[in-house]
Amino acid sequence: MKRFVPGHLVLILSAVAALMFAMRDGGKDPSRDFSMPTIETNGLHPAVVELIDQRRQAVEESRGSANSWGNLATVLDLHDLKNSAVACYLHAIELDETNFRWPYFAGICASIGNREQALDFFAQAHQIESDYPPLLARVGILLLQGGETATARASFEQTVALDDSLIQAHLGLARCAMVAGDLDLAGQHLDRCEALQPTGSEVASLRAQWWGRRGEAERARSTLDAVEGKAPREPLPDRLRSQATMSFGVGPGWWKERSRRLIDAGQPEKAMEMWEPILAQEPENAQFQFQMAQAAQAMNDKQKAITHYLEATKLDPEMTEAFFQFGTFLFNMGNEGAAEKALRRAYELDPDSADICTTLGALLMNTKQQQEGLSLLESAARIRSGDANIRFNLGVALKAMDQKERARDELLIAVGIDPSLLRARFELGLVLKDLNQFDESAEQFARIVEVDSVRVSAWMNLVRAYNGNRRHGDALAALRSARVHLPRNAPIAAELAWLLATGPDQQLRNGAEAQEIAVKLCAGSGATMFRSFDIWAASLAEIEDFDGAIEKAKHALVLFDQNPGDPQLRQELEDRLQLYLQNKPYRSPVHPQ
Amino acid sequence: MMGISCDEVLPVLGDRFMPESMAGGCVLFDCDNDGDLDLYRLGFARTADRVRECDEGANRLYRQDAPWQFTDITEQSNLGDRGYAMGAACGDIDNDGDLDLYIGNLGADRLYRNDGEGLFVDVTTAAGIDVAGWSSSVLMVDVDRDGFLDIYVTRYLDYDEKITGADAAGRPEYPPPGQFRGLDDRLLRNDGDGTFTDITETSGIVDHPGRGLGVIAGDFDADGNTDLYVANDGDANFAWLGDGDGTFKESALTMGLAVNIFGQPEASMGLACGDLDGDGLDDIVVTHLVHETDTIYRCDRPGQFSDVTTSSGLAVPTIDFTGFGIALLDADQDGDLDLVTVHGRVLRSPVQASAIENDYWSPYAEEDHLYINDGAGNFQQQVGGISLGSGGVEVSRGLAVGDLDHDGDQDLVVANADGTIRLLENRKASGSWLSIKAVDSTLNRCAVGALVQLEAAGKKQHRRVAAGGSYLSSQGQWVHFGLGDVKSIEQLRVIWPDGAIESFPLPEVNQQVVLKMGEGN
Repeated sequence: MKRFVPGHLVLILSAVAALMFAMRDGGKDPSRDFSMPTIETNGLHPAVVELIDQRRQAVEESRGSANSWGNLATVLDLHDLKNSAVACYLHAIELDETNFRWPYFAGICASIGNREQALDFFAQAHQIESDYPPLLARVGILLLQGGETATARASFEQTVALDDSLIQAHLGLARCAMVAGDLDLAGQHLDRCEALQPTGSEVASLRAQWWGRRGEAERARSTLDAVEGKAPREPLPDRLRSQATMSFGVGPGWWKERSRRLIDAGQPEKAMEMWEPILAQEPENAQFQFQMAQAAQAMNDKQKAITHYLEATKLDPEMTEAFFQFGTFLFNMGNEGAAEKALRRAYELDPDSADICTTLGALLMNTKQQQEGLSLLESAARIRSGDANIRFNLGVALKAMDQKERARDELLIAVGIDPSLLRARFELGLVLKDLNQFDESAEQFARIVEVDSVRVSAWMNLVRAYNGNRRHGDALAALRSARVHLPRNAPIAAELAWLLATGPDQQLRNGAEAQEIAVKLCAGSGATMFRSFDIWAASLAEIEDFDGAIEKAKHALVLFDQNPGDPQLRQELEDRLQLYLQNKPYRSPVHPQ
Repeated sequence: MMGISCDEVLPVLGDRFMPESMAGGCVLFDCDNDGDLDLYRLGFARTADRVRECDEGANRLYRQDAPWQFTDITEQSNLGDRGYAMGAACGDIDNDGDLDLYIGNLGADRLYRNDGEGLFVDVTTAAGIDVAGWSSSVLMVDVDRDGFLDIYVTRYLDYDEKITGADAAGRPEYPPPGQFRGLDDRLLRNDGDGTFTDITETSGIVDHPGRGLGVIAGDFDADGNTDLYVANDGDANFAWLGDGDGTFKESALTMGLAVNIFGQPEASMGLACGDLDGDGLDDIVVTHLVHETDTIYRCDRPGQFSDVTTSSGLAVPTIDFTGFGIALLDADQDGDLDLVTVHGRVLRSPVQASAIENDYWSPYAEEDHLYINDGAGNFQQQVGGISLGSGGVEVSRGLAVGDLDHDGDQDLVVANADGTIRLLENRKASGSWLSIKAVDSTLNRCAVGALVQLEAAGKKQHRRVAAGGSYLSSQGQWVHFGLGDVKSIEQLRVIWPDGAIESFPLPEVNQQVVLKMGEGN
């Protein structure tokens, strides 16, 4: 089995290999029949099939051409047809043993699923070109995975000597140091990794382990938690591989499609990796800048996204999609001024786009330009009347402008179009409650908690809707169901205890149970919340323990005064205390809360 | 393999429904207390209109009537649950002397109580169990030392069928798990009166969503309390150190059990726990995705582990495979724990020449592995050590271990992603052996968590009873010791779950022995 050998031995091997190749060159029989491997194209994207056919045709026309085989192999490799790709790479290597790309790409292709074969290919590539940093980094990674730490370290050290900016190489060295138990050295390499501003989670994950090995549990945990949502792997910048992607993908249409798929698959770093060399070659291409911005946005690299959006919109001031996406991105970031500017430009370019009208309309509603915002949302609803989200946005806008009947009608349409659109159902429930249509409101909230049983706000509004129509028994039942799904939720527990202690319906009241919940609420909040003591007092009053109720009510007032709030609230606390002093329990009003 | 429909392939619709690529579990247990092992196949399939609860995917129970002779008793046992089954665990939840069954589904989980003669009653609602979503491996263990088995349910992710995957050539493919939010696992406390209380929050395991797939119990810090180790797919693994009262604290990072030696969380699937190097401390082995090795975490001292995968010889043979089910067993009966891992890809790859003929599953098929331990925790792969004899390698997921034919050695049951089951007879074991069942006649009757210790020819071995592990699968409470050429043993004792230690009279080798609490010294 061939093995990667670092250091000066490689130089000797390379020299020998070069001599051998030179001797062999010209001795190859180009007329030899290199067989075409089976290429299964069923189910492939038509553009990919077309490209494969083109490359296959090139091979058929020149079976003795290493480049033809290599190019076909690369196309197959880039589109996950690994088995056929390796077979073609082998033909290319046999036909031209001096071309670095073929064994190098074959090594990358074999890396997942056939480590030994990958190392063999990389060894061949290394004999042709020994100073390509990404090759050395990839070899180091494979060696380290196989437990060959010493040779892996040598490979990473060579990588760093050639290119100090490759995070993967420093990360490899940090890992080697961790394996050797040298935490100080690992820490130094990790410092270097962090200085290079990694975008994936690998560096932070190793740092977390580093803290763990030092016994710093909290720092380890917080370091690991901080990488939540980042890509699992650090990209490895690789000029040759990226150029191949650019040359052997199926053109801008497919790149865009592939980028979208990578982003959808949670691998935006790979999308960025794909666009880097493309942009390096064509920095003036607005579409490529835009695609890079989208990938960076998916990576949550805001600064990079802004840079590329700006570049795209500068290069092509007519590019509606770029202005729209940029504006939406800025809007979501909270930069409403810049967002408005971008979205207005998008609207100027395409006033008939329902999406642009909706987003700009929503932004204007947010920035108190309500009339214009409403007008845009109405336009969107006219343009695409069957879109539940658009009808929802219009409904919310109408609600904000206090046009509740119209809001109700729009939201009913939204829910009719898409019954699973819970946010529309939620807003509809609120509007119906405001219109005193309590039963209809309760129906909406009940539908929400059926689907999303841990949505506290829906439970609370369901209870309020029931109480609004004096359906206190239903309210109580809803609160008990909510407790099953949200046993630790304090607002739910508080609402239940309050209803049990003070509800208007005598048959539903249960002071003892209310007290039990109130005691837990106080314990859970560290006895610092006036509301918990207020509930406790009410529950004690319900079981006619007025001394206890007075004590707790006074304590509630003390806690309230430590952090004073609404004076009316204080008055209510005071009023309840007065009731207890008269040996009277408190009863909630029967009107809606 | 007679009398069992082990070749029944469950239908797939071709839409790359992610759960079908993760499923394939089984339970090997004595369902009717007749002394031999019966087999429960977990079913998962959808009808053409994508309904998940259907006859095609119903679970099946096979009673073993004689060695390798099985009868399908699904109907009379009432165990033909039609949920989309993922994992299951058996245990005596009501301390009546027979094994009950918890089934973790994609959808609502189910609990079945055994009447002792092979009839099972669905007591899910009566027991107050309300676990839904995507459950995976399940473990029954007594976490609060009250003598009743509690239930730990690992849960995978918040799956959305609308999110689909594709490979670089545009072909539909199973989506990566990273696209979905992980779920909190659930812990159900057995109240001892037939009901369970969800103590996920009060136990402390809440707010740790982690795409859980495997779970195992042990005492990883040697404080006498039950601890749990959870394998997460792509997230750091969890080590829940128990306080003995049903509360836990997550400590994996400082114990060296969260991530591998390179600081990487891996796609952890199956788990096994046992003393690999004879130092008296239990080590942990985890199976992983291709391009990641399976990982051995050696226990250096109680509460501290090191990743020794490469020095144990496991890195290179495992890096090109995607491992799921796993078991530590003394396959050759020479007195140490060997390793079996079963494999199957989750993404389409070049079809292996030896892959079973199946248009859909062949690109996912991989060979299974047997590794022999040299006694010091170094493993050597036995090429061809596992021969399916079924026409080719398959897409394996679940794995359970037991002596199916009463010949003293450990046989294997492999559950495949296509729903087929393979029974593998051990024909190479040659050493002496002893199989032991520890029984507590009052509480925790199947003695889950008990530690059986044995000394022979100056060598100490131990096994923990029914502590879970593997992937989506479980087995009953027999523990098995290989003894090499030893003809007699020198010490046999049990450390019961409550901490009591009892020595037992020394039995002859090469037999099955039941050790009852209170009958020793």
